[in-house]
Amino acid sequence: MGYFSETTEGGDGVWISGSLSATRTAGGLFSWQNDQDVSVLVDAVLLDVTTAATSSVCTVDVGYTATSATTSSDTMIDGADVSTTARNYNHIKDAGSNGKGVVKAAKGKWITASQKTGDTTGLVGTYYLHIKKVRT
Amino acid sequence: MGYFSETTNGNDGVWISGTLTASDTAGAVFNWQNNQDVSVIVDAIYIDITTVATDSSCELNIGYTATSAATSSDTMIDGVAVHTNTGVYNHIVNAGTNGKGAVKVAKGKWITASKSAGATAGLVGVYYIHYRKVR
Repeated sequence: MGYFSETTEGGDGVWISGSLSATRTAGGLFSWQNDQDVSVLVDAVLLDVTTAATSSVCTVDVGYTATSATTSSDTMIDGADVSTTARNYNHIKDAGSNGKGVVKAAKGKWITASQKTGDTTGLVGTYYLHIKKVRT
Repeated sequence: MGYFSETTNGNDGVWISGTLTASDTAGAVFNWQNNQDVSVIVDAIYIDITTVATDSSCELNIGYTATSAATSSDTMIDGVAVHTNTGVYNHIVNAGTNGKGAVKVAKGKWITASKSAGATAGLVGVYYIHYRKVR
């Protein structure tokens, strides 16, 4: 058994953030590649949507994929409706049917956010991912 | 895109991790005793199953107990099936009926993981517990 602080090597609680892009292709909202030297646990995904999409129907997926940066996945957020309300969407409240709460992202693989339905045009916001390295 | 560490001031909590044991005795999959000087709040438990149990009905319970390290509890994860799919199971999606989301563990008491159904033979994985001291 090991003890480690979140802020030291081994504990590895780190937040990653960036801007959302109103791009309709798979992985177009954002994609993050695990650039760490080992697999990481992704245990929080937050989408801080400050301007909702203009389309009356726009849902988004966020999740892990081992395929590519342009592959859609819904294993963290499944079909969150971002067409009406600017708010914080997350992996707990917006897990939908396929959200798993926590996913392991292998070294070099991706977390992607994609349009699921409708049209993301007009969407503005910031994403936050929390990662921690796996025990090795 | 920016990377930033969690803040270090205040009470940020600590992660504990260890390997799972394929044992069918209560508390034997893992147990952790609160060795801090006060109670702690356990607010996250993950189990990363890399090899599933060979028994097709194997399920696990994880939770707090004030009784002993060899007592089963399901107050964080209740009856999660670990016989078919590898992956990361957790206190949110796998809370089941009795998972409470977070639990307070008194000084000297335990978080235990136990078989709740089937048999654990073949099970391989790692557990992660996050806790913070109470105010």
